[in-house]
Amino acid sequence: MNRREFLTSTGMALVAATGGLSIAASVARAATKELRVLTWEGYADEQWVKEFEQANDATVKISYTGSVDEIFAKLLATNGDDFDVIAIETSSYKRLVEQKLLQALDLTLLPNRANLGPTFANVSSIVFDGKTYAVPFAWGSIPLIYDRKVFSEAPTSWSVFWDENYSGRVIAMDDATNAIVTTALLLGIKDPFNMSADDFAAVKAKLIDQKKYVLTYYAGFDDGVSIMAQGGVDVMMSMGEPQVQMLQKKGIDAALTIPKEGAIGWIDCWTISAGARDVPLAHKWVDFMLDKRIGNYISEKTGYGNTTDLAANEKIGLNYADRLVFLQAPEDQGKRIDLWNEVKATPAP
Amino acid sequence: MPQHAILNLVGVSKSYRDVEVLQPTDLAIEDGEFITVLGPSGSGKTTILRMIGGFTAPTSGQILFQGRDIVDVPTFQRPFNTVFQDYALFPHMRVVDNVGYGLRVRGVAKAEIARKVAEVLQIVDLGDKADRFPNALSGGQRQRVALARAIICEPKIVLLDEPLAALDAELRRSMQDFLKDLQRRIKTTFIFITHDQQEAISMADRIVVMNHGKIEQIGSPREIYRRPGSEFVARFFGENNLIPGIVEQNAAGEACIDSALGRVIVPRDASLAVGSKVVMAVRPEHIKLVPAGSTVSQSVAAEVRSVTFLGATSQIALTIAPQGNFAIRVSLPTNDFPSLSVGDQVVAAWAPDDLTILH
Amino acid sequence: MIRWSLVRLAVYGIPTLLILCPMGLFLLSSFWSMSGNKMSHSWTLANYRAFFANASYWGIYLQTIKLAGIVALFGLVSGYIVAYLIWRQRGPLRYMLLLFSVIPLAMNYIVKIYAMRGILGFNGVLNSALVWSGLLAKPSTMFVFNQTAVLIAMAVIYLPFAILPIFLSLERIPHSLVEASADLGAPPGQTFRRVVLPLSLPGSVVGGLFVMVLSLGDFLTPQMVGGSQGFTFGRAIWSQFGMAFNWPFGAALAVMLLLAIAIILIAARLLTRYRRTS
Repeated sequence: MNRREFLTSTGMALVAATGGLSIAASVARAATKELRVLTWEGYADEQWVKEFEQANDATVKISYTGSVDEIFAKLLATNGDDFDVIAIETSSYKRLVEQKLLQALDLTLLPNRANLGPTFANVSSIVFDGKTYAVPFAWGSIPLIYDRKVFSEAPTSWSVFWDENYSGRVIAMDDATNAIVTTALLLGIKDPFNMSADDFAAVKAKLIDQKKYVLTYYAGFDDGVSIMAQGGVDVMMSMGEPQVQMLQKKGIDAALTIPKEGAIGWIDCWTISAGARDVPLAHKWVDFMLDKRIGNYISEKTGYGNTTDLAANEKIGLNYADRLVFLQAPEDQGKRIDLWNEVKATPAP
Repeated sequence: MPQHAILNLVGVSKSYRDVEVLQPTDLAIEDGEFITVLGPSGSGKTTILRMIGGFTAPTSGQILFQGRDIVDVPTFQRPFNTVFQDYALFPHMRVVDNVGYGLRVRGVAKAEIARKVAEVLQIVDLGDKADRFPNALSGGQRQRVALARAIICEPKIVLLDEPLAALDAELRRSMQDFLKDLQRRIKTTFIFITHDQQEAISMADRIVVMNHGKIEQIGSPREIYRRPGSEFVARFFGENNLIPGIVEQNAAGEACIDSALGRVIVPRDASLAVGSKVVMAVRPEHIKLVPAGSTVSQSVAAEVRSVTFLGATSQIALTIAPQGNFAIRVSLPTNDFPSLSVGDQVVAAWAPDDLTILH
Repeated sequence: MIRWSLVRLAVYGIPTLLILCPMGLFLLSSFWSMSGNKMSHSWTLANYRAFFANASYWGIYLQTIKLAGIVALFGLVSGYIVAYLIWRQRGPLRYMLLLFSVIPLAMNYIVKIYAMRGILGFNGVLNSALVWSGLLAKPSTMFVFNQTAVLIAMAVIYLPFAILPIFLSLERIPHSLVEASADLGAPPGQTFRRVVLPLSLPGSVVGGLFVMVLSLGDFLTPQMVGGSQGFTFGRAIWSQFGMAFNWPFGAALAVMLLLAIAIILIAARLLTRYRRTS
């Protein structure tokens, strides 16, 4: 959930406070219908918006968001009355549905669901009481990124972050979810989203132990790249695939790998707000987003995976969706934050 | 250079970039005298004081203290102390600590400091204010603290930079007496800067009158009052009637000048060339009125234009009859002419000795 | 008349409202709680109890105050030296130097942190210089990602905030006091110790406290240059808002930080009052 939370997270709070960036991408002609979209930059580019507007004789008004909490704040403020469709990531659905901010989809209005690849056709974290609330659209992972100059072969396990040989030469992200779930995967915890007290204790001990080896916890997407690019860093727990390219641009021979324990995956899904004004039009948009041409475009443009055109995923190397553990709502987010804060507050052993 | 001079300025000047605030100046100050440097603002008087104190370096020249050049001696090593115009009391120190400061920085023993501070505070009559902070004192009290602080180290010279400027008239008068008295008691050289000629006259042994960065005249108050050396001094130093004229003749013990007062006779002066223009000064109180028709050798017929009652004296404005438009002022004891009124025809008379030729 | 009082009400009232309302809301919500994913609006002290019950929270609270205190001391001492040297200059040079010393205030804060890391980092200016000069065989990570780096970076970033008030407190000392001290026989060192320092100290300490307040709330600098030792209370507050979605607890933590800042500001105020009466 933090992949887009760049260093500007503080600045984004300001954007949130001032109402965000509302950009009406519509042409100036009288349309009978209007669709209000809340999404991330790159997910609703102009060419597709225009095509949708012409096909449906509608105006599309797009608001961009910078963080998950901003989406929550905006939906909570008016119980979702301000937006029709929203793109948000799987682990947030439990909260959104519990607070009745979303409505279940009418699957009969979404013929393009047939385009979904097998990994994405049955994502359990967006189904509640047998009703489906969203359709998967784009995905990515929290992979391990390493320097090929140091490793002739990709590290095979997350345990490289606890390896004496790389002490002081590894960096991890300052993010409770990623740190805890990844560590749980390494420890072989069965359900990393519903952990027992023992699991919590084990993860905490392991993370405190890691402090000996970690050079620093980096603050955001660009920050991680900048630290690794400065030198002296062999491995990083990444924030997402695009960091590899950014590192390569800065002259680091970086590559990514999914270790044998698996890695965190995320899926952004389109969903319809409880306060949607034009529900059929909203369904039209959601269905339109499952067009394979858009899937192809997303992979090529953003470097993230798409859910419909699997060949496009292969082409950019995102062939590992089946080895990812997709994020779900955890048993107690507050407890996880406390754990992570405690880890950070404890001096290195 | 007089042998008894304690301080000698020799060719001292000061320029800031191209602006010369003090022209090359010589000045000898005698040991134990109360010397006042008088002048309007911008005359260079404060510059002189600051150079003696070591706060400003002269652009050229020497400052000789007991015959030794002290231009390169830093302020803190000069045996002079200053009373600043704004008093410059240390706001974070009590009166005792302000006064004892000079002894403390010299490492004098505590008991000795306490004894001397008490003594000096006694002199300036502030014994009961010792534990106050400066901002709990009146202007006059602060003034005396500044004075006490400056004399406690027994300096060879006390420099006073317009110390009375901020006080009201009454307090000022009593501080003048106090300062003069103090100076006599401690027998120390005082160099006193002021722009107030009354103050200068009442306190100084000698007055240095300055204008436009140079010394106009040096002399005792009496000398300067009686014989102003220049038009500036004549104007600045008390009231004067300034009378222009042309030298007609200069021989045989006296000179004859054709002026607004008619032909006047002055003592012969070798520097008066026949035909040259001069200005003469005569003080209002040196002009007498005599009844119309009386014949006195040095006199002129005049008409009373106004009478201003000033108490013991009255100020009379006259226009001179032949010229009609030339006015002079006369100061007379009020009782001598109880019935003088506007329009009266009178004769104004003076003694040749009361006329001063200004060069 | 009515129109003018309305204008006055707007001039004073709107900024007050803009400041007080969010703060009031904060205070209010710190006494609420989360039940499940929803905010419950019933009064409770649970958030404050949770703060005091969890040693890692109040531990990091005290540590952050200590860190800010050390940064403030750093800022005070080095800021005083810089401000004093500028103050000693005369003429245009003085104000040019002052301008140069506060120019960093106009720079983006994030850019400054990156710049500091560029200096202290593995392949940074400092390491390059040390390796080039032969003092180090190979680049070291000892200048970055530890507590020392946090101190250096914060002290540098907040230095201009200290220089300005210190310079002003020096500037307020009438020059005649310095002259009077010399006149009374004090060499420059004694004049500084007995007159300049005592008179500028209260104002300078206020400058230091100002730096302390700024560094108390700063969680990005420690995060970015402090490595695994860079956790501060500000980051803990952020985690409650941005990660845990537990706004009431986050608000309670923020109120605790505000409390610390209020105490510091009161101390600053007492100091300035002391200066005025003495």
